[in-house]
Amino acid sequence: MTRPTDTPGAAPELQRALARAARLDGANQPVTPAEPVTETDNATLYRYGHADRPPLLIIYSLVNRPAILDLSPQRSVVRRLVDGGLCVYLLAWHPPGAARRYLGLADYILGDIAEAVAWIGNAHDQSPHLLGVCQGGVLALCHAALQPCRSLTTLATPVDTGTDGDQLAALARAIDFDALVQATGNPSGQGMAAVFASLKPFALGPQRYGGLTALADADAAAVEAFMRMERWMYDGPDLAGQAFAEFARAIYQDNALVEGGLMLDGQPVRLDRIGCPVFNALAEDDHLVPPAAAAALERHVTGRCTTTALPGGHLGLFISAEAHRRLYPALLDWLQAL
Amino acid sequence: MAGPDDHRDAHNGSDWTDPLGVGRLLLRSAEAMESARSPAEAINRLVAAIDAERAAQAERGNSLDALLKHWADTLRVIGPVLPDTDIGDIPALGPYPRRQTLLRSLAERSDTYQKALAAHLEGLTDLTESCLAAFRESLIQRYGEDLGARTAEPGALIQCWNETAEPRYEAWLARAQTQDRIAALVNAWSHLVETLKALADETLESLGLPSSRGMEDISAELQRQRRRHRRDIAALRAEIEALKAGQDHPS
Repeated sequence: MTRPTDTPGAAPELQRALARAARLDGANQPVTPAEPVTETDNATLYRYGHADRPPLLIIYSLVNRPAILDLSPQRSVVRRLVDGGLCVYLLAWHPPGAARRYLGLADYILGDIAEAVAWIGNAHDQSPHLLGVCQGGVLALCHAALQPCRSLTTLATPVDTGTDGDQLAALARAIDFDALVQATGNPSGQGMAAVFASLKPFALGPQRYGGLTALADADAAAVEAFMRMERWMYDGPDLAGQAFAEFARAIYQDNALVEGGLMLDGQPVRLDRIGCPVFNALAEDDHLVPPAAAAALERHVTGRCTTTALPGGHLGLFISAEAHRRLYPALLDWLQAL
Repeated sequence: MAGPDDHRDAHNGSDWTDPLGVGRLLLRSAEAMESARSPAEAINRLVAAIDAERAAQAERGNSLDALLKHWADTLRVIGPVLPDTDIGDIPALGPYPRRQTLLRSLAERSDTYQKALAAHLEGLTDLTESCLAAFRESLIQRYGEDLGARTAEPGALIQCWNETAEPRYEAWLARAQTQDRIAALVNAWSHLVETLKALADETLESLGLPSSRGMEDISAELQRQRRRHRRDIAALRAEIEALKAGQDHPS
């Protein structure tokens, strides 16, 4: 029998790299130990670190899974924050089933987030710092606009989608999102991943997989890291149809955070009501959230806003060496100085 | 209501429902076979039946021609009476108006989707051709005209393709025309699926089975209940906070 590595014409390194990757376990396990402490209607609240430390609540995006924040011991945002002296909480969203397709943004923001903040406030006798990631940053901004906050950190968060070069906003402009969710129900996570990949098909296709041969003789951790990223990118959760349509319309079609007009249960979301200190981090080559879209935040909040720009793309803000060398130490210093 | 003259004698008269005489031939053959007592007799009777039908067909040749002429004349009269418009301009008439409307919508939306898909594919084809032409130019610049005789490293070829195609793809994606075409395709697909689902729902409901419309109704009802509970909980939380504040600062 011919072994794959003996196949004439095939690159043996590539075959070996693929075989090593295929033998890995198929699920992304968390790197940092976590404990589930409570359930909200649509999420599980996890705690990392000691409960006697100041609390920080991470609000992750509804798109993709928060594993990107804890992908490897060397590049774990969660571990970095825990090591920095915080008790970190993560609100891990449950993928909505068909029966929850009418969940709206108000349910997540006024329901789950408010509940998690209240739970942490009771447990610690102090309000948590909030940290919103990408779309989770928008959810955190909405919460902070409606409820007083201790501090707010946003990572790669789209605020002004009317800026030049906002590809997602340009593509979303003429799409009938109500009709789309009427047709699809809950948009599938894998479908969303394909849409994101289609924005950078070369970088995420030939360039990414062309580098596979380098993994043939790499250590096990490198192969594992590659596959963890692969699973994270293409195995996102489905999205609640209603919330997806509301978000796309409000943020990408109406630019509602800047222009106004976003209402949650009849309450207007106004960024100028955010008076707490804000730390806003953005990536200079982010093709999903252009720097100008994120940087606009400081012009709209009334609290003191510190903006930090890092070279690199969207994901680099969470997993790049530069982010872990510069951004997170700066964030921890900022939090400690409050 | 059908009258006694609507169907002539199956063997002899001209039959409006069987202008080619196929039914009559089958009938003659069946009767011939039925009365036969042996296979050989059956074959003989079958041959006789076929010959009889051939003779009858020959006799009816003229009447068939007259029938077809009459039919064409009738259609010529009916044609101008019917509307010369798109199917979308014809209202539902008669029984099952909802189903008629859905079928009309299906035809329209399928047409819109096909057009949107064709426009998008045309854009993609133009982009691909432009990328391939630029790729070829780039290879010629690197390796000269005699490309076939040279073996380039796969990695170098991939890099060359990426460098050539990526900026063109990104420029294409940033064009308003491309974005409009993609939006038109997504919208056309959404509307087509919406109609297909509605038709499937009609069928399922007519069989007493659960439909997606029914499931959505239940989901919407659950959502109404969930929102009511969330507001109640928020009100209770506010009340507790107010009571706590009252305890901390008694008036």
